[in-house]
Amino acid sequence: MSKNSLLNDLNPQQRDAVLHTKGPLLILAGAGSGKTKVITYRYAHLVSAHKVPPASILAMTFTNKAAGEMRDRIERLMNRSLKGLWIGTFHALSNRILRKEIDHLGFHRDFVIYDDDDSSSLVRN
Amino acid sequence: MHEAIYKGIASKISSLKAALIGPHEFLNNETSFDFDEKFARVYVRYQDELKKNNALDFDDLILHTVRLFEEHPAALNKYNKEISHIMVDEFQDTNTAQYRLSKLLAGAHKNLCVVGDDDQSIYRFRGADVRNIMSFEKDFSSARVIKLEQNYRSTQVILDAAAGVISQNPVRKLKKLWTEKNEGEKLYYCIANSENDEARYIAKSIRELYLKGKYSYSDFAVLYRMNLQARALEEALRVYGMPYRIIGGVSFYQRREVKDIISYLKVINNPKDSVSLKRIINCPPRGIGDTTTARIENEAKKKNKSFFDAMKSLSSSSDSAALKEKITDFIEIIDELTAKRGMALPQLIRLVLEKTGYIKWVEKERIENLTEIIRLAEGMNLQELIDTASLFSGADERVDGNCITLMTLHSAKGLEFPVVFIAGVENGLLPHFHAIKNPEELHEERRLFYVGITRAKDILILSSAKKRRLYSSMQELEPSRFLSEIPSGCYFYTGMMPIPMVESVARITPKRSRTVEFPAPSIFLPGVRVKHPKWGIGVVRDSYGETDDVKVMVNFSTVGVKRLSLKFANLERL
Repeated sequence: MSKNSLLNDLNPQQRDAVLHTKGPLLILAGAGSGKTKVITYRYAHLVSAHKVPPASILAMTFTNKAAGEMRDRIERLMNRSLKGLWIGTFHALSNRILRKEIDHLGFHRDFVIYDDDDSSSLVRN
Repeated sequence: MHEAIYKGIASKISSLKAALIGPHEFLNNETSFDFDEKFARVYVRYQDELKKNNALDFDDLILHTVRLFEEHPAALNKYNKEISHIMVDEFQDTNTAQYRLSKLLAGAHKNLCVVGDDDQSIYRFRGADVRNIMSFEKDFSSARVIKLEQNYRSTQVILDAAAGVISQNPVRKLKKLWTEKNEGEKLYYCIANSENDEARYIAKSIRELYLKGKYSYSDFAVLYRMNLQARALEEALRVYGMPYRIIGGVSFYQRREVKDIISYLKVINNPKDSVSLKRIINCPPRGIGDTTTARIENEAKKKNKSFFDAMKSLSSSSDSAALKEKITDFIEIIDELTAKRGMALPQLIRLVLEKTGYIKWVEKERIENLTEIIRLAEGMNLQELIDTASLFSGADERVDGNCITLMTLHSAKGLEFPVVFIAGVENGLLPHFHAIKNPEELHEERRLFYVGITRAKDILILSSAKKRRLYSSMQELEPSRFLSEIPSGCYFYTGMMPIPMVESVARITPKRSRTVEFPAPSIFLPGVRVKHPKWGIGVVRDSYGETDDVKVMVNFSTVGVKRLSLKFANLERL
């Protein structure tokens, strides 16, 4: 997808947000204002215009569903697979880091994750 | 009862972790006047037990990653080099730990882009801190701030209603949403006598709108504050034979048989996982009851061993032959399966189901979900499937097929529907009872209502019931205070007339006045006794219409049912 057609789809504020690629940025996105579009276009723009490798971009959200949709939309936009990259939930991405590094904290890398029910039953004991 | 206490403790631990207060930090804080020593002991023990089980709870995933990065700069450095740009979605829902993690990952380059809407911050109860949005500009003084205010979803009337409500919250980043869409249909508001009447009204309206052919079932959503409101709605939809689906019920990975089999896999993967082990030790039943479990537990505590190791030592040392046999059989099964953990996952699951006798024992109707697990396991390894199951949450449930969606306002965030109903817009439900006296909580409830309103693309129908069964008793409820924050020209009283029948009336150009007043007809609700100068005493059957031109239907004993304009009728409420 060419650079320009990517930007032509956006309104001026969305375009500003996509083009701001260096330093901290706070996007205050009102309801229904095309937030996911801005995130996905910004990702694609970083890769296509700034040659940032996808493996260097981390995108975090809250639910697996939202993360999956984000990944799908970026994949469609860029027409390439983004499996195994840093797109996921806070918990999934932290899990991925800990699976490699947690021995620093005295756990084994094959640690288990307890859900709320498991935690409650541990409290009971 | 006890279950609630454990859940309460677990949730207190969870909020401490969300605020990056581990057991040690908590203990160091013991000078604070409300220090709870008993709780502190539980917290420390809990964290020790997790470690003994080589287990992390959900909050630990973030907490430990933050700790890792703060205590081991080399590890952080590695990721700072690897990752050059960070984007965080739904930033308003981040808690302290998640925000800290984002900042650590952004390292020296500070290429951190956060996207959020403080008006939609609704997870305070889970530790989300809307102040993170406010802090961002302080923490990053060079931050650029961009507002996205053009709305591509809702009609202007819906946006006006939403703005009227949210503008009552005092501390917020000001945004003014606008749209190129038409003014649109007014909001509808129905006051029903009971929750069942409300549900019937919603079902009838959906049916009528559906029959007009413009909308399919999947275009409708019914939103509510509390899960228990779903019952009446379900019943009404069933009566009308319309397909629906409830989001946030028991999700796939929470179903008993799915959790059982995942627990087996967890034990095979990590025999130290005593929580999973205890779940399956007698499932299917193998005569290892509470007494035996308690004995193993004791042994584990005494010798400071994991539960599984304690079983092993009992199986050789115990003086009861029966006990030995039962435990030994179980250990053998687990050992045998553990030895095969390297095999292709679908085969491994089949083996677990057979060797443990689970497949013979489980009810037939549950087997389908086990087949589904085997299908999902295709191409995954053991750890991946366990993680997928562990990291799955109710919010991940997908909506498939052509059916009406029922869900809580919380679950609705991020979604949109052409036609949205918000049921139970009453003081006590929305805002919820617990929030009425706490301003912070009240603001959160208001945001929740705002989230609900802004889900609607074309049509938004609000409703409340005068009576509702809540907490096992019948409660009388008033329409929500939030309704009076909607500019009165934005909505239309429907009475009990289903939506499409009043639609044409509502389409007249709305007058957008900003008067903030309590909905007028609430004092002439159905059932109220009134006195008319000429016809005497009657009972109100229905009231509907524009806020400044409300019509009432009154049944007079003298002349029967009359339709009156409230403005001119000189009715006196008795």
